[in-house]
Amino acid sequence: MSNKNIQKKETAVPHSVERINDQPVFIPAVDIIEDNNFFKIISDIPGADKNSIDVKFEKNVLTIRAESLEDNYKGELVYGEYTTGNYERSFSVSDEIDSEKIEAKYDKGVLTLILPKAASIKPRTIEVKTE
Amino acid sequence: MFLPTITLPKPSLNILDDIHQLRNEMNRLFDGKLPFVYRNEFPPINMKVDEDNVIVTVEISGLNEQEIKASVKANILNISGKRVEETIGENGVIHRNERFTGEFSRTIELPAKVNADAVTAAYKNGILTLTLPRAEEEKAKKIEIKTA
Repeated sequence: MSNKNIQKKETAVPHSVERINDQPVFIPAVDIIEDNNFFKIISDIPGADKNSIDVKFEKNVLTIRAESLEDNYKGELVYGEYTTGNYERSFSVSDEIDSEKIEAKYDKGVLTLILPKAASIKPRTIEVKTE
Repeated sequence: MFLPTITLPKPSLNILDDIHQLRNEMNRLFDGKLPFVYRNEFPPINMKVDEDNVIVTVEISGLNEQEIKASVKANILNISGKRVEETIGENGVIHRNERFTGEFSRTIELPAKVNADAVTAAYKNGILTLTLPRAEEEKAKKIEIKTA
């Protein structure tokens, strides 16, 4: 078993832009993987509808926003380990990313972003020739 | 003057967890009715009860339907499965690894006996919803009041 934090983390300070609704804002858990050609950011945003997801890249900052809505089952909540609200997290991204080619896909509560590296900084193998 | 080098800890979000936990503990202490609890276990579970059903919702993103196992016996519900790690290439580097991976198993006691044969399950946007009809003998019976 891992000792990761399962419970969604709520942000301490409201973001610089305040929200109109008073729902909590969660920091989604992410995995970030780097490979030769890309960075991959995988984040858990359970309960978010695809249409509520907003991925923005602005001034080298990549921001993920999404909203999970409360279920509409009637009945009394007798036990709760999670609450619904907004997901928000930002990453500053260096120039090595080709921002035009960022891809996002969403499936089963998991948002996967592929950030391709710009061609100029992909590692190149320089062939050494003998004369 | 010689100053020792101090390595500052990375900015951590864990203090929030501690505060949450403290808040939960305080709530539980002063008001036993609040249903929210802090359990750092995967997957987080919510439970609602109405006249006919016990509704269990689980935040369990990124699994295939076949990978989630749920079983009910009397009033004990078990949810188990395995969330596989992301495969990385030969030159891959992991910079962050916050998401839960591995096997999990959660067992919770339901507040009522349920009809295990009539349980329905749905999985959407990473939320598993189990609708467990309450057993007939558990349901509240309406008492008709007749005028004499």
